[in-house]
Amino acid sequence: MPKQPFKALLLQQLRRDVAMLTGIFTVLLIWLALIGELRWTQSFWISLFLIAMAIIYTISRAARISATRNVSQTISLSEVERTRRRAQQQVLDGFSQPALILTHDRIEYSNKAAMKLFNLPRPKGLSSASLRHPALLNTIAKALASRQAMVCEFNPAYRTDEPWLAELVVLDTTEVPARLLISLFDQKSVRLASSARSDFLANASHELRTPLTSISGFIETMKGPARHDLKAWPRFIDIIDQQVSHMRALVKDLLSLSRIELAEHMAPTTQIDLTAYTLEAIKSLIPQAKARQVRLKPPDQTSPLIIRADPDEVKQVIVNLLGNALKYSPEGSVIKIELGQATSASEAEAACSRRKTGAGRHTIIRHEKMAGPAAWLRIKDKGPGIEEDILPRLGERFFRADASRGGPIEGTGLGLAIVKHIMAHHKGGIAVETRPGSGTAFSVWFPCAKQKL
Amino acid sequence: MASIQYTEQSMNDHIVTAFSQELEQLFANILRMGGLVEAMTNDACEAIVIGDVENANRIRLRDTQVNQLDAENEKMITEIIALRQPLARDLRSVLSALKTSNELERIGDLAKNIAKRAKPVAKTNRPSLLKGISELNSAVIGQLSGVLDAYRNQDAEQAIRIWDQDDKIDKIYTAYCKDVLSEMKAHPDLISDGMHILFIAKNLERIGDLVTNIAEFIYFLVTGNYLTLTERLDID
Repeated sequence: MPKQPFKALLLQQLRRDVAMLTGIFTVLLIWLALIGELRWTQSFWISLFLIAMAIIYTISRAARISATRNVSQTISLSEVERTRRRAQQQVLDGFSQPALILTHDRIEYSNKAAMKLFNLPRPKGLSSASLRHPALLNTIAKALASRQAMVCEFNPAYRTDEPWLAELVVLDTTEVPARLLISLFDQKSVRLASSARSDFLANASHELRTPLTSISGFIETMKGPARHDLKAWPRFIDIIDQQVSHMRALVKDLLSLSRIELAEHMAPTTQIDLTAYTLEAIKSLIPQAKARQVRLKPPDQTSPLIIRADPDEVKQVIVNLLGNALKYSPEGSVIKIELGQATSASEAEAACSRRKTGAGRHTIIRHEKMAGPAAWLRIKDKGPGIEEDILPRLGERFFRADASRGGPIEGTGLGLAIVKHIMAHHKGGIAVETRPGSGTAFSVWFPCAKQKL
Repeated sequence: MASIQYTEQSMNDHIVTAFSQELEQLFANILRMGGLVEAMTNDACEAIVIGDVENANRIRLRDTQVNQLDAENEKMITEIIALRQPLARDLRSVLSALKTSNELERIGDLAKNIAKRAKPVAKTNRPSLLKGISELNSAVIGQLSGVLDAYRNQDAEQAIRIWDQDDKIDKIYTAYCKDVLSEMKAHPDLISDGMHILFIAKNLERIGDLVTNIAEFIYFLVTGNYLTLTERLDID
């Protein structure tokens, strides 16, 4: 509850009276001094009285500021301050979400979105008149009194499905009167984000259920109609085995995805040699490549490339990308692996990109603030390529480029999602270049560790 | 009808700036009260529908805040009339503030009464009976919000629009009452619940009436004419 303005009213009357008396006595003093009726002591006492009056006047002025009156009106601003405030107001105009600046109990400025939300005819006014919502007003009063940032959830139109979140920040804690920045967020989008999470869960359980259904179907067949058809059993068992390994891969990928997400906010600290890890990964995949009659062409680069990264995650990135390349490579083709170093992230990205006519290119993620030199890795296969219009969807969970083709290639649909998360964790980047019919190249780049010479 | 919009000047062009500030403060107080009763009505109806007795009890306590604001407004208005002797639009705005404050206080009382009925209604074995309350509530809240916006913007046109839309609430109310009555006839064990529900509906309908009164005050404030009389003349 704000204090009522009667105290302030009395103060104003007192001030008016004091000013009047001071004026009368000043005129009297001058007049008496002019006609020479004043002795030295008398003029001394009258001057003292006038000074006392002036002091009372000043005090009453100062007292006014502490009352809950619309202080902002009475304070005159310097030109510098006014310019600063105008700039702040222009910043608000740039916001797409509703935002207001309050000076004490008065709205100093509100942007278009806020005017629309609160149905305000103009950007200014007393906050209690314009915002009206008790929960919001109480939080504003608390934030003004404590000078601390606060949040408040409220429902501007009293519709149960449209909650808004107000964030209140005191702009300058030393300023008198206090100024508040209120930004409002539609919680609908938050609801949508949580529904995206439940979508993921639904997807994951669907992906897990598909192999389960097929396994239980074959087991039922083996127990029922095919009980004595022992010749068909090995085929059934093969299929069951396939499905089980698919499920195992899926669970493994889901677990590593959740582990990476959990650690995503902690920057990696270890320093590793990208060249060594790449060579090691190539070596581990040679048997698989031989089985598919694909040749892995190792990089020319043999000198170490020291990067700041998590060893397990880097291994997973290389194995996932190489595994993808192997899966899509036709028999007898070559997978080209290249490594290199560049002076900056954008240089690295440029080094990875070999623009060819008819090739589509898409950067899946890129860390904007990556500074210093970067090491890059490029893996190019001679597979069927990816159509350009689905490039932006790469890295989505359970998205498979070949899903529509219904091809024989199997995967969990999580491999690239994992790579994307790892690269985000390392503040690096990942890009893809592809030309339908002639192959796909994935490139990743990591920030280099600060070299100790 | 030309809409007469509130401008910064209309309240701030007095020679004695303190007077302008008092008027503005009064105006803000009324709207603060409006916000309180708006939230109270809505929360009380929500509490009824979901059967949240605890919250309903808390809502009842909020009425003291409304009464306090009403008393403060009255004191402030008396002081303004005694000290400033307002004329013309100032006089109208002070008078309509007095009456609006009074109506808002009554809306607060009605909302408190609704909240009071949460406890007996919470035990009802027929929650479908409460469905109409949400509908009636959203219509009433829409009217109340609209009239408060009209008061803040000093918009006579919107006041007329609100005043015209009261039939909508009346229609919902009559239809709902019929439903509840027929339910009560069919199931005599629902009589006590049904009676409370009818009272809640009646209170909401009364709030709608008080809102139209406020719309009349706004019209009077802005134009100096009485809405009921002019509108009747138009019809004739």
